Amino acid sequence: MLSADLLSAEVCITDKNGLRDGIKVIEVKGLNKAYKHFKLDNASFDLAPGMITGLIGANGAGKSTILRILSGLLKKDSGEIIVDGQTVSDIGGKLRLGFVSQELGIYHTQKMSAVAGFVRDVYKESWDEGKYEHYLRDVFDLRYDQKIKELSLGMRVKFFLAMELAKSPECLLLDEVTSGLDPVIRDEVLDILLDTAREYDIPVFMSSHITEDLEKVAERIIFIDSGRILLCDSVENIRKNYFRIEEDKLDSLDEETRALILEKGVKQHEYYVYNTGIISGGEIAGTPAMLSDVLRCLRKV
Amino acid sequence: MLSYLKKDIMFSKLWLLVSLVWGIVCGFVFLKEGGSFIFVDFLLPLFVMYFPLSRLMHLEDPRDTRDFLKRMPQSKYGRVTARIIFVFALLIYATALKIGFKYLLIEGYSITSGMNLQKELFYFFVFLFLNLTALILFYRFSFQIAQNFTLASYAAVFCVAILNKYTEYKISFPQVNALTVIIPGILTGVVLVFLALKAEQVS
Repeated sequence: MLSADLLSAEVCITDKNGLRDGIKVIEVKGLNKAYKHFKLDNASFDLAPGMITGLIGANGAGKSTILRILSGLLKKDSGEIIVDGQTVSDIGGKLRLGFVSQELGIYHTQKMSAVAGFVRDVYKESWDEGKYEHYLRDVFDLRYDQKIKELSLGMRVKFFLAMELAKSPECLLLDEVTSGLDPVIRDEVLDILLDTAREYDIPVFMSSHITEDLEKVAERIIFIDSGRILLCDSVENIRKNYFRIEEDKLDSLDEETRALILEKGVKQHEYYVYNTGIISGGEIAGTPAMLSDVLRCLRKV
Repeated sequence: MLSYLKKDIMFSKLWLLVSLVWGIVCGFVFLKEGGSFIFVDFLLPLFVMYFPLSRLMHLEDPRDTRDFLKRMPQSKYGRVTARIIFVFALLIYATALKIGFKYLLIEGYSITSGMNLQKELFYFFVFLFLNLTALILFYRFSFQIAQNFTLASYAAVFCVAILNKYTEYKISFPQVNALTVIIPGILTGVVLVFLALKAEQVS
């Protein structure tokens, strides 16, 4: 049985420890949105420049709801979105927003050049044709002007990402973009996102239920379940604070530590996940837990 | 707004071409038939407007496309206004073509009866109202509902036209002051444009 002690100080709504030098571009405070069978409950977090923040949760946890509110596609019931100290209804009201979601059937009968031409017209002041060509041809290797419906899912993600990056976004929101991609393309896309966040010093907010992806690129992680943010912390802190230990190695621990882990840790298959905070002064045994372990652990609270 | 108008033209260019050809074919059939109303008053504006508009609505109906457009910096008013201008342009093209062919018929066949301005204005506003209502339904609900409305209303207009032609039931277009058609037409048009601008919702 997991007690509240397990999460103790680590369960926070907003944790600024993960922010580089405490700089934040976007603050989200007490975001609420209620549907008949789902409620986004008091979500608060920050997004910092040059940093990828990952939003992890199971399907239906509220990831897309948060992203849709931030991008202005949904109205929030209450809460604040503050960009550079100014309260806005959505991020797009203040910053040039790049947004890629998993639904990429946009203008499916049109050619890539026609869709890009339209986006170029709309964003003509910020559009960087060189960047678009570079990502499209050199990085993503999309050489032929095909119709959107003729592109594979991976190619569509690349095309829309190239367009969003060519808009010179000041904030990039990504909703499950790596779902459905093969591992090679996923790694390529993740590398580009990491480079983009660092090179242009923009906040990147990326939701996924594939924890391995976020483990590779995110510096901060927000865990969400059933509309509630369970944890918001830097990956470094999470690795420091959550450990896993194989069941058969528990015997090698001292009596007190073993008892604490058995009592307050969460059993997963053949190992236990625990918060190092429960062991005061004792031996911290095992290896840092995977994000998926932490998520499962948090969900059991 | 111009970007959206340009996009509407670009993304429906094939169907615009079909509309252009259709309008001309209808006109020539009208001449050949010796002035059969159905080709110019009904079938010409119907398909000149239906082909490109339904194409665009079909393209932009999926949720991801609607979201893609909503995320763009242009307000919904700009986007919808561009589409309304597109509707007006199509209707003006259809009406101009119709009047042109009628003029050719009057000249070529030495028909003495001139055009009835009230009748032309009446048809103009009927097609305007139908298409603006379809736009309202599209932005508020879906392409399917808009299309069902369009087809049902065209079927109704067709039935009335047939009744008008072949039965004793007649819609008369008396030679009254054109303002009696223009004023209610414009007022209704303004209300429909306003409703179209307000139709799209953020949930």
